[in-house]
Amino acid sequence: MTERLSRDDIAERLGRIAPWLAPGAYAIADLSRLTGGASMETWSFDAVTPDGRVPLILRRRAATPAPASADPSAAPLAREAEVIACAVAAGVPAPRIAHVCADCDDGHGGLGDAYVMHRVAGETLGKRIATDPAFAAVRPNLARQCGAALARIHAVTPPATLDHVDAAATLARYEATWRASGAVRPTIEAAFRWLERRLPRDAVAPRLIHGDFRNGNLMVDPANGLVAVLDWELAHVGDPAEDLGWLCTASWRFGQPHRRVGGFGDVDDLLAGYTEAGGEPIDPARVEFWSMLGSLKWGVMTTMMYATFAADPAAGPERGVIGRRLSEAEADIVAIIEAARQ
Amino acid sequence: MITHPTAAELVAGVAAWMPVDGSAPPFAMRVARNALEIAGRDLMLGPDADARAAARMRALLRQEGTRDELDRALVAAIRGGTIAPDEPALIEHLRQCALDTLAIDQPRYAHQLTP
Repeated sequence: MTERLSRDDIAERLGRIAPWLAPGAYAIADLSRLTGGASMETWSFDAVTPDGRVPLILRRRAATPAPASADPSAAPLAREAEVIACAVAAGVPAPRIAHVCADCDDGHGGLGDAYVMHRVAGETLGKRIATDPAFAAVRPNLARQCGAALARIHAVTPPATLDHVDAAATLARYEATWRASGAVRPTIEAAFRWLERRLPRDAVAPRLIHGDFRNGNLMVDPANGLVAVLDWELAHVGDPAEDLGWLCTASWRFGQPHRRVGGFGDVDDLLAGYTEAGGEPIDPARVEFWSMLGSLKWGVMTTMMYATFAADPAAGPERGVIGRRLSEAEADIVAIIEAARQ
Repeated sequence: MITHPTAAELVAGVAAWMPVDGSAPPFAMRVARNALEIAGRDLMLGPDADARAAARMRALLRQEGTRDELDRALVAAIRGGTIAPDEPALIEHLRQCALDTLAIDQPRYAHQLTP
């Protein structure tokens, strides 16, 4: 079990494993926390070597696991690191793994379920990537770059430990979560039935899926465009169109709904980048299916956020306010059904 | 209207959270203001939107009832296949519901519904 550790504890334990983090490293410096959810911590630090500093990131599971309902696909971090390493080897722009800390590893630092990766510089804020003039030069090529990265991810032989979750299983999982919430929303009901009628009739060749490939999890450089694909926690085996559809889901367009790819690009460019990099051609209707499922997933998630708020209102209204973003998901769902009829 | 959370829950949630010693960071204060703005718009716009939705559903389902009863009946009809998910009359009702809820919850959301 992973312990709750203070900043000083983590600095001390990272210092002990410094030689495993970078060649010649004898210490670490500038440890600071970047994000900390209930279940996962991200820390930035440098390994100090005689030749200079090596910028690194520590990802580590915090003491208590998240509520089981919050994230059914959450996997141990060692598995996440293995997937990232396979992707990097296949030419996907992603952070190189420096060290995997196994659980119960006295000899490897006592950091619990954690790994260390190289720190990449770039922008991850979706709104800036979609609208800031600093990214105007790279935006026109970004959808194509995303297509190429996805084709390379989907060509990786998946580690045997990953779950296979296809469209029907995803739909069933979210419908079960929705029923358990007790919410009564005709629009959400229509989305389930609309998707059920469009489930793929033929078997889809299963591929490695990133599982959270969207604007917000992409690191973009103002000169080079896409430099790293982040947040591999939801990687699984499934339908390759899932990743393209989630990238095109309306919830991640940051006020630019006509730029269907992440608020920055067009679907034709995404699909062209995908096939140019060796991906098997994907029918745009399947991307549309997974975008609808993406909006539905986001709608179901907002209701789960509300449940967390209702259980402990004194923790603050943030998750209650996210509950009211169901309106956005419903508007996107109705717009998709409307457009599909024309 | 959306009941998870209701306007009353949002207001009660802000009151239960709000520190009176000035210790709340600006980000949390902005979230709290947003919660109160949503609740305020809900109180102002919600009753009329509910009445319009109920009237549309009475015509669609040919039955009487409150907004909540009719929402339940409509969910049952869609789930049971009596009304197809892309039936034009249903979509027109859902489109107007979506515009009404956005006006309360997220008036600045860049949606793609026909206005």
